[in-house]
Amino acid sequence: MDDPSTHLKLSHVSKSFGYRKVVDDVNLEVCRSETFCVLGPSGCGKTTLLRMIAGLEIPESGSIEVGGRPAVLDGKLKIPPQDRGIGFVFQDLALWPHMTVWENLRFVLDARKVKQSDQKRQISDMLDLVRLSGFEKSSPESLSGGEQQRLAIARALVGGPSLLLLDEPLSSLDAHLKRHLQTELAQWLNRLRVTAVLITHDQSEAFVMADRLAIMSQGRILQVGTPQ
Amino acid sequence: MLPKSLEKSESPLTRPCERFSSVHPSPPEAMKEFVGQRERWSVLDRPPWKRGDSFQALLNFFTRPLGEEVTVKIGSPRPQRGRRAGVKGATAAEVHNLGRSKVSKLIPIVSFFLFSCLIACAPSKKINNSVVIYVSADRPFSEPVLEAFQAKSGIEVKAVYDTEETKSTGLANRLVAEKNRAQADAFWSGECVRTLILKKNGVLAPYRSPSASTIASTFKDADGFWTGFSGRCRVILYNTQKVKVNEAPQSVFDLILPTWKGQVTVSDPRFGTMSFHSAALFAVLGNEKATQFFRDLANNDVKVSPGNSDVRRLVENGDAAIGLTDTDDANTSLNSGKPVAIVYPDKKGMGVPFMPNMVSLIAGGPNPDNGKKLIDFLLSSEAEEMLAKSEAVQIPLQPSARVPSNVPSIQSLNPLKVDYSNVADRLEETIRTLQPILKL
Amino acid sequence: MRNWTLALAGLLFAGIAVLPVGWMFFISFRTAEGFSLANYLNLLSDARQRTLLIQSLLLSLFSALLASVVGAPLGLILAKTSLRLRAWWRLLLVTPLLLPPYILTIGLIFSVNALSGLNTSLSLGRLVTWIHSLPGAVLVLSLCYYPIPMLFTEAALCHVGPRMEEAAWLVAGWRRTLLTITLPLVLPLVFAGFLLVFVLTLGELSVPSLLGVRVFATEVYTQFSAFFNFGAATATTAPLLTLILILAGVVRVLTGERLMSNRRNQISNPLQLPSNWHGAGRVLLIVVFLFAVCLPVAGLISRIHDMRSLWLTAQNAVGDVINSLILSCLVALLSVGLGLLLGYWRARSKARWRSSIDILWLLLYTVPGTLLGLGLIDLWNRAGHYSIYGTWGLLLLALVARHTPITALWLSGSVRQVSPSLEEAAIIHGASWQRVIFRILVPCLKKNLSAAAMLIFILSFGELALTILLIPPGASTLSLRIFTTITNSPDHVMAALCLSQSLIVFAVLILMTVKYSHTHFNRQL
Repeated sequence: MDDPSTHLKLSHVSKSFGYRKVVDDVNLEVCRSETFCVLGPSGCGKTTLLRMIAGLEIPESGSIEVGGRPAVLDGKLKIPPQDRGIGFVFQDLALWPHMTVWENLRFVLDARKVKQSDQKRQISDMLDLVRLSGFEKSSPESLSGGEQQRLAIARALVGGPSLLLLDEPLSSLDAHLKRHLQTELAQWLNRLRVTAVLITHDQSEAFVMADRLAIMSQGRILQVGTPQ
Repeated sequence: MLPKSLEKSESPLTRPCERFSSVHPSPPEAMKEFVGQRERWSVLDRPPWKRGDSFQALLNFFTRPLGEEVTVKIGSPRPQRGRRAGVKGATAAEVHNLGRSKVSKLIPIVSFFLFSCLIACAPSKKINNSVVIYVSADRPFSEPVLEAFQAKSGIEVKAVYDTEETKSTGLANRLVAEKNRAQADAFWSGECVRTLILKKNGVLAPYRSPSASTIASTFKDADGFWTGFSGRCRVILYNTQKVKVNEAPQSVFDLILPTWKGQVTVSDPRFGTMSFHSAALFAVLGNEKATQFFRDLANNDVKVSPGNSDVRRLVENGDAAIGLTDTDDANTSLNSGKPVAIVYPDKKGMGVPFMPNMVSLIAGGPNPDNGKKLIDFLLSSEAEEMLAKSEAVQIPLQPSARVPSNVPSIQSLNPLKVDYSNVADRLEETIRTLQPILKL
Repeated sequence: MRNWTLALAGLLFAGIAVLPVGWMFFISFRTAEGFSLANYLNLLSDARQRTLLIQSLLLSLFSALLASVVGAPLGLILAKTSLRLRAWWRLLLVTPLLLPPYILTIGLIFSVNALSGLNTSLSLGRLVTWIHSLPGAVLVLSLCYYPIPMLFTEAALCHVGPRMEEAAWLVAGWRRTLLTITLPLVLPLVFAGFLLVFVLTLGELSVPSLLGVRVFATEVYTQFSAFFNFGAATATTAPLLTLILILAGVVRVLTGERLMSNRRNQISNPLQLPSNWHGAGRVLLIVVFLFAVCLPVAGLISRIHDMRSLWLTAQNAVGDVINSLILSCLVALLSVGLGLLLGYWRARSKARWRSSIDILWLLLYTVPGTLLGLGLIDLWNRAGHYSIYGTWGLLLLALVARHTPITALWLSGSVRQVSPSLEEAAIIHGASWQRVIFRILVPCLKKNLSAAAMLIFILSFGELALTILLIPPGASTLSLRIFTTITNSPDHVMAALCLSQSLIVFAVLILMTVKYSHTHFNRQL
């Protein structure tokens, strides 16, 4: 049960909006440093599931453990989202338009109480990693689609999260750019040894990225396995 | 912003949207099939009356011959001329429904209807047996008098009301602005200053009414531009809980006594009857004495209220012990049983400031003869008696008018002897002098 | 077709709103000695007017600040907490804005008087003198106008994407997210609300004069009503307009094009505040509601002894009520129609000077109604068979001219929220321009349009200055009747009349709220 390699554990998690059961009795375990992918058609409850893991929604019933600590116990919030050590890449990116690229990243470090002296190094390292050096002073709106995407990923990674959640991060890109970023993202995740939960409706993406894979439909997990 | 070419493009794709209109030519043969497909698709997709131009359909519905079924195939690529456009398979009730489902389409019709109602309510512009009068005397008292005139003479009275006390810049402005093409026949002012300014601006025409022959010459313009009738006085109103009857001030000069420091309130001397009162003091006392009086008043911490009714309210509630106001305001206060009493100031000295109503003929008005008739009536003792009996307790100027017991006669009052046009001339200067003194 | 309609709308607006005001300013340069700057030079040399101007500036600045400080948190609570009957709360809190300010002030004065009479030992008596001072006026004015920043803040919050806040919330806490993410994003619109309150309080006459505070607006009024020198009177408005120009410039430099529009097009359900904030929020709502609505209404009610006199007045007023209702409906309809066309043009125009149009609208609305009315009389009172002078038509046009600047300002903001691609798609698929307007734009802006129409209805229902100048002889409206009967009536009649006018406003509001309570009415501001 208390396998130290388990990073994230969901047991009997359910959530409904009005009369619609969006997530229905989901049980999942995600291991440390693996990239776990949830695949399913749109509207099957994937995003809600991810938001519950992040703490943005609270399940009606069930428990969520992050890093061995109960984040939600029987439908009650135990750890607020900011204390779960999570990085999140939103589907619509949600970059802050009133801040520059640099400030977008620094906000996270400020909030994580990283020392001023370390901030500079960490940010420029991260920008190097996602190939955005030189854009420090630009506003996110002036970046291209792919660059915005990389900035969003950088923002999620810069705080050094133990768990990274990605909500269809590449859905808005064209096929070529997507393939390119997929491999890049897989490399970054590998290098940083971050546990990642990725949500997508794109099978090929899931097969490229995932170590393990769950198929979800109508709020239920149908199948869990490796891409093979 | 949008390429212009797109707006006017004759793309065949535009046809489906216009399929109800029978005047348009059919789409090219090659598009027929495509159009047909779109029809089938949209038949499934939306209720029939939501497709196409429903306003056109509505018009068609109303213009159809009685008893005719409203049917036309919409899928038909070539609506035949003369055949009524409509909605496929829609019953009359369904077509009727579109009126409800598209309320916005009815807005032009409804607003046209409303507008015609409004026009119908508005008086027609033709010159008929009517008279237009602008009234700045308070409406509750003036309206019954005008109604009495209408009943007696059969001339329709069209009045526009205003009130001289409140913060509108109202009718006098309107008269000045309309000078080049006057719309009113007569102007009934509740006080004197405005009328005299209008005279200076050339708005008024002279008229010596036969009814005015018995009115004292002080209250008439020498050239006949205005005639005074029923008037009000400026009075001292005091709170009987704060001031004993035998100690009450008997003159405006008593208000600068140190006994009343901080207890006196007057209304803004730039507006309304207080502007007349202060200008009259300047006219009677001369600049030097009057300026000194207002300086003393200011040093005595006088409170300047926005209007006479505010003065009345402050005294009623005891927030001020003494106030300067008009007879009608004071009477309202007395009638509502508040602990107040009035004094006619300077009855035994220079005289009580008296402000007659004034009526004048407007130069170039549309119905001058009716205007003159109305003026004759207003100056009669009949009208003056009505005003005396009203809550405004106006003091009649016709010697023959009978007064109720709570109204003093003009003879008993010793009104302040003043040349009204002189007062009006001094108004602007008075205001300029008083603004710094009273810190307005 | 499109260009023709827009040009026609622009021409109509110029004819009924811009031209009369411009004409009055033209007159202000005409003096006895021919054209000169005399009227304006007199202004500059007068030290008294300078102090008045400073007093006015202080009053407006602090009122706008206080209104924003009260209004913005209320907007936050309305947008971001789970309120049951949210639309009703909004309705209750908006009422002070929709009642004529003098009614609110009279009510407050009455209740302050009643309070001070209640208990003299608590030194409540000082309250009466305090309310008749500059700080008192600031308080009263901000109680009248806080709904503007409130609505603006709520609307702005609905345009901030919740994901942006969530992204911050994941790493920082709530407080920090609000301060560093939410606040900067809504600031431009809150600023716009501040500016609007500033403009409105600068022209406000009734409240300062009821409270005995000297302001510059009274000066303009004195020029009109005591001296009848239209040129000089028009010149007196120049310092007010200059102040507004300067302020609008400052705000524009600070916020750029964002003054009326926001970055995000979609509106979404804003992220909810944590539930332990909700209780405190509700307490704040109730406190403001008690002060801004209950206190004045209680003050009015406390003066009513019997309803007989009210009943007598009401019997005479039936025809006037009908006139008022029809007139206000038409004004609302026309003003929204015209405002939509003008706003559309402003929103889609590529002209370089398009943003100065916003300022022109702001200025036109600041100019006193009397000025517009006199300009209209001067221009339109001409002989001729088809002259509409002296009919309801001119009054209708005048009221439309008076209120269209606000509708245009409002609707140009909301048109910018509708993506142009929606229209382009319709045009590419063969729709004519009218069809685009009626099928695409109007449905998209339905809520904005009806909210604007309601606002204009209420404003023109209470309008006085223009009505007195332009009402056809022999006719009357309700506000005019109330106004001409109110002055010499005892307190209880006055209170009853004020209450009855408030009741009509309430009735309209309740109708609207019932219709839209299930949606997020007003969110698309």
